[in-house]
Amino acid sequence: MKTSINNIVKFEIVDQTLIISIFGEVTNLYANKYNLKPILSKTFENISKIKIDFSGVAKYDTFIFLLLKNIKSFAIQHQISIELTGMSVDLKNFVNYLENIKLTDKYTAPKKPNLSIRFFENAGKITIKLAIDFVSLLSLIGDIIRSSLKLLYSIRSIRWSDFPEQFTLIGVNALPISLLIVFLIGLITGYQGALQLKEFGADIFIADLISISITRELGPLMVAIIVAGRSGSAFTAEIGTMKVSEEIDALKVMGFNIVDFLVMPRLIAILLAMPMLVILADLVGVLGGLFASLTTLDLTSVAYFNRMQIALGINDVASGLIKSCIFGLVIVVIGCFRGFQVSGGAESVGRYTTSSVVTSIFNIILLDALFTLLFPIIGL
Amino acid sequence: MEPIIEVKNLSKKYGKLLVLENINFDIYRGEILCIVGGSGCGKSTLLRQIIGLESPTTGEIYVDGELYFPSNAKVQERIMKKFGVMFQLGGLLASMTLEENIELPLKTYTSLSSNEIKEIIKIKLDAVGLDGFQDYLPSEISGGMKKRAALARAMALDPEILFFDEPSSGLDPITSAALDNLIIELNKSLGTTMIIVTHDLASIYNVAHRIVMLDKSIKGVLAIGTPEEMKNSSNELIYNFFNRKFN
Repeated sequence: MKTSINNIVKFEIVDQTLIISIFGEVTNLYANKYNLKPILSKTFENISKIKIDFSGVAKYDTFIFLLLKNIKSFAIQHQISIELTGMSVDLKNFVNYLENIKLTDKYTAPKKPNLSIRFFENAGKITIKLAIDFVSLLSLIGDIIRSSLKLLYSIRSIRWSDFPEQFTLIGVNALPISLLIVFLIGLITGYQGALQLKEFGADIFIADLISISITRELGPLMVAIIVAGRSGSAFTAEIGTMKVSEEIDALKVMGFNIVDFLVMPRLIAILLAMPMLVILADLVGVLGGLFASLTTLDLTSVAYFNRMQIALGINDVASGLIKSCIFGLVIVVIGCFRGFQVSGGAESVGRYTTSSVVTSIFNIILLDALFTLLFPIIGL
Repeated sequence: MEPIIEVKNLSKKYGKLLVLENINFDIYRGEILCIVGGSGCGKSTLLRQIIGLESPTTGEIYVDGELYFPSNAKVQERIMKKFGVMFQLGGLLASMTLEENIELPLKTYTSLSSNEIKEIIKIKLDAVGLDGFQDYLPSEISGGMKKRAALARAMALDPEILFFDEPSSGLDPITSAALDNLIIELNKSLGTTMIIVTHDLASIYNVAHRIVMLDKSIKGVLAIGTPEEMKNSSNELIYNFFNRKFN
């Protein structure tokens, strides 16, 4: 007779019979204590029967079924008969149930194609989606143009009641943060420029540097990025949520033109708000530069402003303002477009909101680069 | 019959708003108990208190004779492992496949080997009729299947008590009946105690052993009884609810 206790499983060999006694809580919580490997990995030539004693089982769950299944497959492999003793009625029913689960209403899973096929499938799907996206973006732009033309004929074709709120949200509420950021940008540019100009003794040219870079580039760009982050995301989230909760469909059914109703008030608000934001931002940006030059260079503020009057032309400020309107247009079109793309649930709203901000900022910078090349040609 | 959950003098306030007042009832081992009531009567609130997602303002909850509330976080965590919950919208993690969803609790709380986990996942999915869908994302299966997958995940750790929040909401009658059937089957063969919050009458008559009816007017339990008793109640409110009438 040979006995070994492996935690809470006991093995015994009595007259060619391997007796496995199982004790305790046979649950998946303690699965590692019921390790049958050391005993089942041996081959038993002189064993003709396995007897499993369950009388010591205090608690069990699906794990006991796995345990039993392992022993059974071992027994079949070695052509040994098996006997189960000490099973409670409940345990017997439990094992029986798991052994032959027979549901009448099973779903059969359609086979998923393998990885390489799925790769091409996805590539195709993405291409088609991109093409469809492009077409629907064009159609949104077309709708916006049509609505704008309609506005020329009848001023009341769009939802003006939404306009004040949108103007406040896009313009007024963005003012403090825009001013602060552009002031700091002016300050930073001023400091960096001052260090270089001092080397050449060209201190006074700091006024040229600041005024032109702020009004032409940094002011409109920074404001556009802030508005894209603040309002572009809000457009997408708002319209996306309306789409998810079927508000857009409800509006359509009531006969409203969605572009007139949702896009146009935002468009007009942003076209008005952006130049205003930018002109104020230009002002504080120049002041930021002044602050930097006063503290680092031998310069008076009178000299700074005098020089600025010579350096800065109306076309510099105008090109910044024109740009800001176009950036505003981009923010509205992309923000609303992404909002209309939302489908399904809340998680889709989040995804498209992120994508809206990223796409608008990317396009803003791309357009800015383009304008830098094109404006000199048309004399701006 | 031995109670598995005892709710004693439970009250719940949100700020000054009293939602549940002095609730007392027992849930017996192995039964299917439906918690019903009109909209806004606090069914889901009560369920959240019993599960332990929210703490009652006053009162006690015992699970298996052990004090579940009030008690410390460690005890609650241990007892909570006896629970499985199928949420109204499934609560499946959208970024994970069904297999990974069920694997999550098994991997975290048990000492099973990865092979054993795979086998258990297969058994669980088979039990809800979804074997073969291991690699599918929740977004790739239908609403009824999502509920089943949520049930499979709720059962992953072989809980003694399963909670269902509106299992039949958003399902067509056939899918809903199939789910009822599955609930009955699992209850019969595994002996799991089931607590179902619902107001789907057809489903209640199908599955319920006992019913606890809550009502807004008294912010508490209006009646407890079998479906038959409820249907033939002399109380007008109960009679109307269970016979789909209004006066």
